[in-house]
Amino acid sequence: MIRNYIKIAWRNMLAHKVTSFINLFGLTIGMAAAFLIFMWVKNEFSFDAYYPQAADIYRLTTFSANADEKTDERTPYVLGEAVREQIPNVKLLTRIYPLTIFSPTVKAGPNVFKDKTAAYIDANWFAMFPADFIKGSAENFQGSPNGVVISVRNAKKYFGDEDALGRTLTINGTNCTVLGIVKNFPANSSFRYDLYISSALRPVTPAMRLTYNWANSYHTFVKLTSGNKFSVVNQINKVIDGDWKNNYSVGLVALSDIHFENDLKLSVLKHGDKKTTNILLFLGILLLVIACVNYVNLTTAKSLLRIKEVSVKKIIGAERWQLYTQFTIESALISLLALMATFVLVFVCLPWFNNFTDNHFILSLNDPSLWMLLAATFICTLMLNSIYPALLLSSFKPAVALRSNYADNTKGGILRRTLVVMQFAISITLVVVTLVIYKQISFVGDQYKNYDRAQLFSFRLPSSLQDDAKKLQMKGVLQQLQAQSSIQSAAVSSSTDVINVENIWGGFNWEGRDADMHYDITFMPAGENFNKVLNLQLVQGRWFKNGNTNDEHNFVINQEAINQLGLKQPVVGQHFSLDKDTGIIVGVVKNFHYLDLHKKIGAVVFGNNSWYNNSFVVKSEPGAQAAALKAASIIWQKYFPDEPFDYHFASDDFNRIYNAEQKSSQLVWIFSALAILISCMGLYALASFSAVQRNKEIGIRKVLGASVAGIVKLISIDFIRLVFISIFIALPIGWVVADMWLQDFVYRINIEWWVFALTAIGALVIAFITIGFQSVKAALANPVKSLRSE
Amino acid sequence: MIKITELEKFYRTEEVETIALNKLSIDIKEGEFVAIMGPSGCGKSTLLNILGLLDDPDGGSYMFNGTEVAHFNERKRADLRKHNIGFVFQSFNLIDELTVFENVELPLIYTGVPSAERVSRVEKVLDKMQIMHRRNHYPQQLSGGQQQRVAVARAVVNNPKLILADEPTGNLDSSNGNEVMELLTDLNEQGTTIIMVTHSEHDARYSHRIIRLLDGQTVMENIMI
Repeated sequence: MIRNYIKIAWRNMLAHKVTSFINLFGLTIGMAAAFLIFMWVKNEFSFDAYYPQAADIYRLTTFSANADEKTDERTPYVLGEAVREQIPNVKLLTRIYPLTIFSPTVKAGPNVFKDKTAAYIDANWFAMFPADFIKGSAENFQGSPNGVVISVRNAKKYFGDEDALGRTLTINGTNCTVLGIVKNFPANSSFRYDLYISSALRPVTPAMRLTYNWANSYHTFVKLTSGNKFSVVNQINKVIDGDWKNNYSVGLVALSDIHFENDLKLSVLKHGDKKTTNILLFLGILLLVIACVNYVNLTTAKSLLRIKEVSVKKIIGAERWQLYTQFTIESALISLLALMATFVLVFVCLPWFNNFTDNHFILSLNDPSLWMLLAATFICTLMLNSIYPALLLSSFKPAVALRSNYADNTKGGILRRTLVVMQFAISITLVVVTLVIYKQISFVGDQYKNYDRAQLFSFRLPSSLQDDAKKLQMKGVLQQLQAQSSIQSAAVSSSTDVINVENIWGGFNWEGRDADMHYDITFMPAGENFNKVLNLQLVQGRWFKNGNTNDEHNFVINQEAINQLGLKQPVVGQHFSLDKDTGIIVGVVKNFHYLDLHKKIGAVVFGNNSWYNNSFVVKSEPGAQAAALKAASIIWQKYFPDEPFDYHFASDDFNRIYNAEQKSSQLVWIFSALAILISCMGLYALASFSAVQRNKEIGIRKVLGASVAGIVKLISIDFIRLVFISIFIALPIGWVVADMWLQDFVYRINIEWWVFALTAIGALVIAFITIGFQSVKAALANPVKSLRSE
Repeated sequence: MIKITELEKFYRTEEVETIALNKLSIDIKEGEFVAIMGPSGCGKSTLLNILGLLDDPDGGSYMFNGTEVAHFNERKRADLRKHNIGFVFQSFNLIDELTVFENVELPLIYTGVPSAERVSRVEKVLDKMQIMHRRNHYPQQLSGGQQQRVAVARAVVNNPKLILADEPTGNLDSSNGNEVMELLTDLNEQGTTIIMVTHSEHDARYSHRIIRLLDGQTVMENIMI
């Protein structure tokens, strides 16, 4: 019997090629998008879950006694030692010190690299977080203080196709041996490192160890004997020592919660955003629903053509469940074909998707989760598109249907109309949101227009330089940079970042300071000319002057600082100090964006003490970026021949900071384009069925003298009315959704009326073009033919 | 075999009620060949639909082989239908997506006949209807007469006790029409009861008895000699 069902379904598909194509195309697009998103969402929710006994692993977290200070994912080295020695419930303790910001210089033979995916790890790291060793072993690494473990990716980078095991790498001047090569980290790992260096190699001098003994610098992980988290937290807080205890307490964060942490300051891990994940999941399901709506609409609209078949089958003995099964199998067949096409499409799109999501998803046919995801996508699709059409088609009464070859046309009609409205409402909402996101992104770009991001690049001195040498070399490098014709201006700074400077410092004092009040002051150490590089506008006083030794202790502030710190006019000349560094305020600059636009501009204080500075910010002449970069690299080579020149452009920072927004914008754009495409294909097919159903009516009207325009209007008006309803539903929803998205920005656009007007007109034009083709075709048909065939 | 007593059927719209069958009583014995005639709207097709368990009567009794079936539920009707009744329509009503063989095979599938037996029974009946050479063709590739022979083959493949034919020659030329009537006569001679609705006096002459209806009631019965 099933063979018979499949046979009929297959022949039906071939007999109605356009409808079948629309169904297959829509379902394939919807399923492929849903599959990719399900894969991404599954990855997001499975971060670090693959480690053995992951449920027993926690990270020590530092909570500050100061309510305004954010939680820190790092803890002091010595705390780890104390916990290991004093708390028996901790089965295993291990630490990692990521080198994301101060990346090490790695020499492999003649090649030198600046490796941004490196970390120092304790010898027992792999006991808690096992890696897939391709060569070497965790035991070798544990037994050797000079050992490193590298990923396959880095082995290739350092040594090409040669065997990397046992080879020497010189890391920040120390020779190390490659003791293991591990598989590249999977897409759902928080620890995205390609170079693991033994902590024993960390250059910590006895003096530094004393200074930083209780500094928050390590990520400390513990594996507990099951179910005793709270008692361990209490025990840990009891072993905390001295001053640190006055300012901080310790908590435990489960390994499974680390990926979605969002209250940390300066995390170096790759975190996910639960909100974005859920929104994307919702969008994926929406697209699948839109595609299934097409199937349901076309199948029920086409039901007229199946009346005879259903009636005959009922008459010769088919029961309703048998017919229901038949139509469910038809849906399954088309969903299965779409699934096969989806599979191919997903493979084709995977490189793009990996690039887009900055991930390394691999589709392995041996991976059961791949099949589970495909099955989930298939079952969702089948449930959405089989139940109603099968119920409708199996419900025809044979005597009535056969006698008049008539099916109650209103059956499913209201549902069909509702579904069309829903499809278009979703598409129109997405278009509104896309336009608003696009406008906001371009607004964000405009906010940093005091300088051209593409002209600005920065680099940092090697971290190994001691204070005096650093001071001398900074001066030398700066002078040479300023002498280059391709460089417009250059300045020293304490950071290579200019777009997202989160550097809240304490220890400031000024005239009239309210001792009880808490202040958040962003400290930006910056030398002479820094104002020119960033094109900061002075509204009072002056910037730091070259050669003015007093300026080493003076300060420049922004306008917001005057408000927030309660400074009285005249501001310039007032005493201001940072710890023991006492001077005066010499200038005030206009407020500028130094944070991303999700955050409000705060009080900024610039200081000019060379002790803080270790970086250069360089502005090239317009159009001379390449020459400026080359000149800077030659100067660098002169001073630091053994170090690679590691620079980055402000435009790269901008893209990194607004990456999420740019990606959301692209993704919503893609979603809305696909939604519109699928909806229009559905509308096209419905219009064509409508023309077929009203064939006789059109013929009679033409015989009675109706014009082509009149017939076009007759067919189009119903659909256009539905699009109108969709517009009225979608525009307010779009406004609410876009406004919610904008709320994350402190600085944001107003949603203007033309966004809605443009979307509404666009939707109507697209819908009319889609329907128009079928309507004109029906209007131009010979009425004699249609009447005769009736 | 069939005994209907005071059968009633009404069609209602919001404003009008039309009486299709008005306390109609008919008795049909096993092996009979009965023709039902009458003008359009007299209730012929309604009667046939009720006899074929495709429609419910609004009143009266319908005994089929001694069992009251007037108010059988959908499942019982389907069961009774597939084992006992074959249908032949004016417009053939073959399924366009299935071949001749597959169309004839369909009732056997619904009665759960095993595959091998289905093949032999379908081939036998196609042979009998002299349409075997067209077994792999689709309905649109056949002439009207051939299509009706396939429809008759489909109606008889389950060896039903009763065949209901609704103007079986209405869409055929006289030569093909005669062929179909010969087929029905043969089936009747082999023991199948046949009830045929027709407008054609010529076709009615193949039957044993003609029941003439008007306004849902019997107005005359002619016994054919």
